[in-house]
Amino acid sequence: MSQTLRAQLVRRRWRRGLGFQEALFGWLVVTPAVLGLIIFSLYPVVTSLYLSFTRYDIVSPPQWIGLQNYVKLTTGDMLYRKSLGVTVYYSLLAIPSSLIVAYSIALLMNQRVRGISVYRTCWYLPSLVPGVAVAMLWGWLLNRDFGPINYPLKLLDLPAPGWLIDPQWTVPSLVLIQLWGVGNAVLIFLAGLQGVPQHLYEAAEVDGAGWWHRFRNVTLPMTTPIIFFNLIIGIIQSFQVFTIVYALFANDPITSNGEAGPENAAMVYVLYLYRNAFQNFQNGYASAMAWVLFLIITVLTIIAFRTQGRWVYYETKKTR
Amino acid sequence: MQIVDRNLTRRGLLLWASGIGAATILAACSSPSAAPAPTAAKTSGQTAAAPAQAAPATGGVVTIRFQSRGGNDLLKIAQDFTAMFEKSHPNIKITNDHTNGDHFQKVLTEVAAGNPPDAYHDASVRTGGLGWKKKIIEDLEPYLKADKRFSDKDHIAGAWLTEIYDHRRTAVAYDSGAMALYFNIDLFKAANVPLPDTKKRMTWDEIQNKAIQLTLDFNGKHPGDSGFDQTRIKQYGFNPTTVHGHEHWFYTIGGEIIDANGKVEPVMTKPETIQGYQKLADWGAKLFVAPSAEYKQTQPIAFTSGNVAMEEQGVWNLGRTNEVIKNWGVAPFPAQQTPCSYGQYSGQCMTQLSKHKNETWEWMYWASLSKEGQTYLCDVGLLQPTRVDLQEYFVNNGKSPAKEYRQVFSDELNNGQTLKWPGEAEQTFYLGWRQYWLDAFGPLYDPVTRGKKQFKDIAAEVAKTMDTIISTGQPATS
Repeated sequence: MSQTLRAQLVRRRWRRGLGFQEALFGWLVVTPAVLGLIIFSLYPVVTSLYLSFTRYDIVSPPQWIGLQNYVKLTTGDMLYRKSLGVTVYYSLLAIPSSLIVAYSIALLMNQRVRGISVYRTCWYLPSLVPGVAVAMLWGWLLNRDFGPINYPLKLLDLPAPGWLIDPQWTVPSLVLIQLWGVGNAVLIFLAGLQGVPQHLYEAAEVDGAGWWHRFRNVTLPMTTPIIFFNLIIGIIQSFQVFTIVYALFANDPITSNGEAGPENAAMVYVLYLYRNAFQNFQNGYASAMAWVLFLIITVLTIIAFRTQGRWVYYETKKTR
Repeated sequence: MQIVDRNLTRRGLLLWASGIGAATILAACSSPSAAPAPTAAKTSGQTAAAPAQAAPATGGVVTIRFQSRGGNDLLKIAQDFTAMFEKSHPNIKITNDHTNGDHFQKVLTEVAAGNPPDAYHDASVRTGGLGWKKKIIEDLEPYLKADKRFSDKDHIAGAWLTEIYDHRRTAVAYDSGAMALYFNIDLFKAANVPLPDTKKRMTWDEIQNKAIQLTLDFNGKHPGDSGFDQTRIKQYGFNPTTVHGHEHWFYTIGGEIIDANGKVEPVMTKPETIQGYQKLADWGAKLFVAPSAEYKQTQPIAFTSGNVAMEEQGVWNLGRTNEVIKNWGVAPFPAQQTPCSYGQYSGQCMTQLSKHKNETWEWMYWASLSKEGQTYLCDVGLLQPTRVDLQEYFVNNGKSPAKEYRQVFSDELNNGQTLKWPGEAEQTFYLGWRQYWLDAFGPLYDPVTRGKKQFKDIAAEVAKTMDTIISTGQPATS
């Protein structure tokens, strides 16, 4: 073997040795995260898929029943349909209202005024309050007879609804409570608004555009990706609403009378899932509910992605 | 493809990812590490692993776990109590595992993990039946029969309320006892209303008259007065029970909710049952003398808050009431026709998966059936004793309420003529499905308590739902 070739082989082996070490180091570094993902995410997800095809009451081994849980969901469970209906109704109210409110607040917070950082903090703080505390607070605020929200309405002789005790007002009350915590969405919208290139506004001003035209033709289109992002997050979160509802209506199985709100008006999907899983000994059925919810959210997300081409503007998209 | 290759290709990455995924699926599809199957329920006639006369373990200290539940006051009681037991039983140590929240979810989680407590303090009136039906708790009949220290004659007639399922005793009393009518003597005197008679049960009209005089809004008006505002109540005259022991509202007039054949529909739709449930709802919805979900007040409303003059309560609240109300008394439950009494025991149960059943039974016997244990629980206001030889001790306890009032509790529970509970004929409290029953009943009854519907309009639907629960053993789905 020539010396040159031998030297090349030595160098190659050395490189491979070094590469091996680096690769090994890389794998070692990511292993905890990967293991965590597998053990705490992937494994439970796959297990729940299996359990959804079983009758499983936690205290005895799962018993394979095929598609019976899914059939019961679609045909035999009126309370499931009610929970789905309540959740869809909640989402139809919560998603657009939270987008509009958060966007409006972000527009205000994007102004250059003295003390703006204080205002931004004030708007963001409610989103940091724990869900149970929010429920306690709003349970008092929304009391029909002595709550501060109805008090001025009564003074003005306006209708003062029974927010949390009237089945018709229960879901709107939950939406109202949820609107109080739009701080996260505001923050994201604000970041998007601050990313709009200034030269576009200058160009619009040069062309004589007023504030409305600037908003409609510059601000709004340039922030559609952020709106789209918050829309997806809103879909995911609204279909999984739970904490507020549980804290308000169902938090004490010892003393509660079993209902979720007046006439079960607050029986949202995840609350019913939780009840089936941990109170009714129907873990297999609850797993099936979880997978159906996943499918519903996935389908809605796909629809949103498919339609984004018509209304979301990406600066980096190639134009034809 | 080599794992050591620094330039992992897309194909390589996909291969690795699918390999990991396949391994995970295979792991998941193997027998899941769910709860090991508990031993089969021990029905009558089947001999369990009959324990010997509970003999302490020989050699070495055995540690068992007792799960208590409730507020911090109950935690303190459990800690002191278990410490007392350990002093007299040096070979058995008890780890106290307390929960302030939903104890049953905790038990279920631990059962699923294969690590349940050896014994736990159950809310028997709700979850005792589920614990039995789902084979979580042990049948205690073999232990009671084998233990020569125990005799049925030593305990009163009502000793096993809400603890009997399929004719088997499944728990021993840890807290509770009789229910009766608590009344605030100071509020009665302030309103110049005669105190209830401890020997004579009030009729519905009598209690209504007193309740109206004792109910005040913040303007000092009574229900029926011009300008009375039911949304701003300062003091309620009456607070009937809507969960524990509410059945007397229809029992007293001949109603029933579970017939001798275990059916609901034939009896739930009877006029007497409908009238009883309607009366219970009307106190708040129509007469405004009782708290109502329709008119929530700013302040907490409870007998222990000092703003309820009469309240149907259990003896389990005796200790807590004594801490805040100084001058109170007890009268028997009202009765319109047939006198009815009620009580319930939230007992402690042994789990089937317990690995130290003899030691656990030793704790359970000492705590809940021995004179020493029941004396302590009686002294802390948790338990109305089931032991016959402690009945006088309970009545003559010396602590509030006075002896004549404590006698009411004793009479209510010891009177086999008046004691009555659903599922009595089948010797299974609510046929084992009380929790599912409550979950389904609440939403249906809610509009009645708000005055939006009449019970007669929903009676058939309620009956059908309950019959479905009983026949299927599944929670209601409508």
